[in-house]
Order: sequence, then C-alpha cells, then structure tokens
Amino acid sequence: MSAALLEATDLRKSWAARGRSVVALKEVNLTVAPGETLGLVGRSGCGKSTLARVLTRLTPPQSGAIRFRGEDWLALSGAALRTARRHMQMVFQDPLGAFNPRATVAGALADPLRIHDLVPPARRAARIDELLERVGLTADYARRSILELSGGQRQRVAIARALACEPSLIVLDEAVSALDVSVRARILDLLVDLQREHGLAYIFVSHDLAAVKAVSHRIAVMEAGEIVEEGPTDAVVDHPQSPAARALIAAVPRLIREKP
Amino acid sequence: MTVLCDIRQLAIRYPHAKAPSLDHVSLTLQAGERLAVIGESGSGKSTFARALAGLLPPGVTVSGEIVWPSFAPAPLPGRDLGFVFQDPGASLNPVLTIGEQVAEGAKRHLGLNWKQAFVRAADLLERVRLPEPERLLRAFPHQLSGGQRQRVAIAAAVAARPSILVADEVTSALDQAVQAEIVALLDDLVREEAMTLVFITHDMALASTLADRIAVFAAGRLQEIGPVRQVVGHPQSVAAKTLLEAHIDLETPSLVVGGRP
Repeated sequence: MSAALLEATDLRKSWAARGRSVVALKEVNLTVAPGETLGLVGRSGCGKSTLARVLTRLTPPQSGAIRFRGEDWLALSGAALRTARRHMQMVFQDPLGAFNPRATVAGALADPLRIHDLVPPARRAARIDELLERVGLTADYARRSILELSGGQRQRVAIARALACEPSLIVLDEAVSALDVSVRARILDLLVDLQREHGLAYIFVSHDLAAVKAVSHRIAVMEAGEIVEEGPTDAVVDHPQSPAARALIAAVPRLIREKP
Repeated sequence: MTVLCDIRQLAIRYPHAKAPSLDHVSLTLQAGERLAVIGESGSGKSTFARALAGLLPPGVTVSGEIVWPSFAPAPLPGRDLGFVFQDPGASLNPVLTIGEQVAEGAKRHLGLNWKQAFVRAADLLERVRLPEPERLLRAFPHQLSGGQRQRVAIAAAVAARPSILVADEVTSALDQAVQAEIVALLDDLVREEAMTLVFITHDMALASTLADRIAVFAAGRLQEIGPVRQVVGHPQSVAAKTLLEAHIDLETPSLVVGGRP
C-alpha cells in the first residue's frame, strides 16, 4: 500500500487507572488513501477517540508505527514535527473548548497562517476572508468574538482553521454530534464539498452510523480497542459481519412514516 | 379521550431576553397520550417542558394559562409528574447514594418509611434493567456510566407513580446504542404504568418511534401539531419540512457518490 496517505500498524495504547491498566487500543491497523474518507464508528468507550488522538500525536502509543505522507510520523519531533503537523489537522466535538475563549475569529484563523508562515502578513486579512467564505460565513464574522457565535458557526470556524493549514488529512472527532440536525446536515455537505475541491482526506470519528455512512468511502467499526470490521461503506452497512456492526445498525433511529 | 392539560396562549420571556422563549402557544394534552415536542436549539421546546412541569426559574414573565381539569391545584412535580433531564450527571446529586435518590420520592409521596422506600427503589432499579440493584442502592452517581445514570434518573422520576412523565432530551448526551436502549425502556415503562408522556427531542426519528402526536416548535411558536403519520408523511410547516429534510438515517443517499474518492 505505497499509495496510502496514512498507514498505521499494530498501534497499542493502554491507560493506567487506579493501579490497573486499561487497554484502549490493541493492535490497531488502518490505512487512509489521499482524498478518501474513513469513517471510524463505535460505542462510547470503544477507543475511537484515543485512536484519533494517537494518530494526531496528541497522545503517544505504547507501540506500533504510523507512516504519514511517506514519513515515519512517530519519529518526528521538535521543529520537524511542528512543521509537519500542518498536514494533519483535527476538529473536535466541542468547538467552544477548542478555541481560546478570548480570541476573535480573525485571531483564531491568523494563528496557523502566521505559525506555518503560509501567507505573508500583508495578505493575511484577505486569506481569512477567503477561508470564512469557503466555510459559508461572511467576511464580517472576522471581527467577532468566538463567544458571540452559535455552535454551528463556531464549528465552521474550526473547520476554516483546519483548512488554513492546507492539510492533506483532517481528523474529525464527533465534529457534528453536538449540532442541531439542520446544522449537522449543512456541515456534512460542506465537508464533502471541501473534499472534492481540495482532495482532502478525512477520518470521520462518530458513534452516529447514519452520519458516518453519509460521508464515508470506507468504514471501520471499533469495539473494545480493536477494529472488528472494515470495508467499503455499502458492504459494512448492507452486510455487516461483526456483532458490533450489527448492533450499531440496529441502534440507528428509523423515521416511521405510517403509524396506525 | 379526556383532556389532561389545556394550554392557552402561553407566553414566556426570560429576564433580559430579546425575544420571548414561548410566543402564545396553545395546545391540548390528552390523558394517556404520547406527545413528542420537537425543534432545534432555541425553539422553546425545553421552556415548554419546564412550564408544563412548573419548573420555570424565578423572574420569568408568564402570560396565558395552563389548565389541568383533573388536578386541583396543578400536578405536583415528583408526585404527579416525573421529569427526566438531559444530563443525569447534573440532575443527580453527587453526594447522595443512588438508593437515597430513588427512594426519596417514594418515601415522600407514597407514605412509605425509608426501609419500604428502599425496597421499592431496588424494584425500580430492576425495572429500569440495571444489574445488581441491591448493590447499586449504595453506589454513587460517579461510579456509573452515562447510560446507567440516565436509567437511575428515570427510576427516580417514576418512583412516586406519577401519571405524567416529561422527558427533556434524555438521550441527546448518549451514544446511539445506549439511546436505543433508553428509548425502548421509556416505551415499556409508559405503556406498563399507563402514563402520559411528553417527550422533548430534536430527532424526528425518535419522535416518530415513541410518540402518537408530534408538536413542532420553532422560534418559540408552535408551528404544527398532529399525528405522527401526518407530521412525518405530510408536513405543512417550514419547520417540520426542514427537520425532515435534514434527517439522516441509513436510507439517506451517500454524499460521496460512487463510493470512491
């Protein structure tokens, strides 16, 4: 799989809790191709957020290997890691917790442009307007405080901030779970549009199988720290093999149109 | 059908709010029915639930009427009306045992002593399908998962055998697998105890699964109310149509056409 953008092999991670060791990941393997969305789905506590944090190097694994853009991702450190981080961005569930509450929208978007020296200072304001427009907000949002925005608007700014880095992969950890249904639908549309335009790859982490199915090319089902099933979206949803996948499918609420 | 509650021109405004949270809402709740109240954030659905249960904070301006023909005065929260909140981590008291919190309503309103109330609490924990109820009586909320805590909150809400149960976004903080279990539990409990259910949600599928009628709220106003097949099958209001269009389930076509990037 030399064409893979991201390739994780045998990732293991356990947490120490009250003297006991709790296994969060055991021998997890996954690959993501350029421009592809991998949906990562599972119940609360299955290890999917831990996996997202290990892949983005927010937490180190005990063992295993990650290759990203042809490099040994776990071997990077210091300045080399900071530079490379631009290519893998993350969007979190709670957009309020993901921002400095005192920041303005422009401030939050200027940081990555400055840190990674992507746009010269004179052009930054124009680039910020462009980014806002790209996520469906108008340029006058730039002056607003993060606190003034609604949850959906904040999540758009979080996506704009990730896009500012011109990444090749964005890890979305329950990024639409806290949003209203109509806002959720619009954010999913936006993610798919951005993928088409920029050739972005996503890892879309969620407990909501219907949302995962709507945006993913492939789905990996996690349970108790392991990927128990993985395949093309339609195959997993139409012909689930594992009990975990069948349980997730059964749990999706169905719209009942006809009721006596 | 007997009228359980008649809400007439109910308007509610929180202090310092620019717009009213509820704007002249009128609807009738029938005894024994299951009404889903659906809307997006800020639609007024939770304010409606709180007004119904008499749980509005002090300082709000209320006009209009809530009439309970078979109750005089209004139903007493805890005794006649049980309320389950969205976040059981916040609604359960962290320093009281599960047993104390579930038994309290039974002791206070059913005339039981503590010993009898604890027996009832253990029964209720079993009813909400929690394992080892006897042991759980002595546990504290932080020792349980989110789904287990919500089962405890449901047990506490029905401890005094209320005839009305109001459930405000009770599954929104839970993953879908747990959500399905909680919805099935509510469905059984309401049927077995012949309770009237008011189920607040933002999810059309959950509303259609659990309810007989659906009331759609937007911007503090009641936009539409009717039987499930009417609201889901032939929505009239923009708000109902928007919620249905935004609904995603496994039948929703993939947004990434062709399956390959």
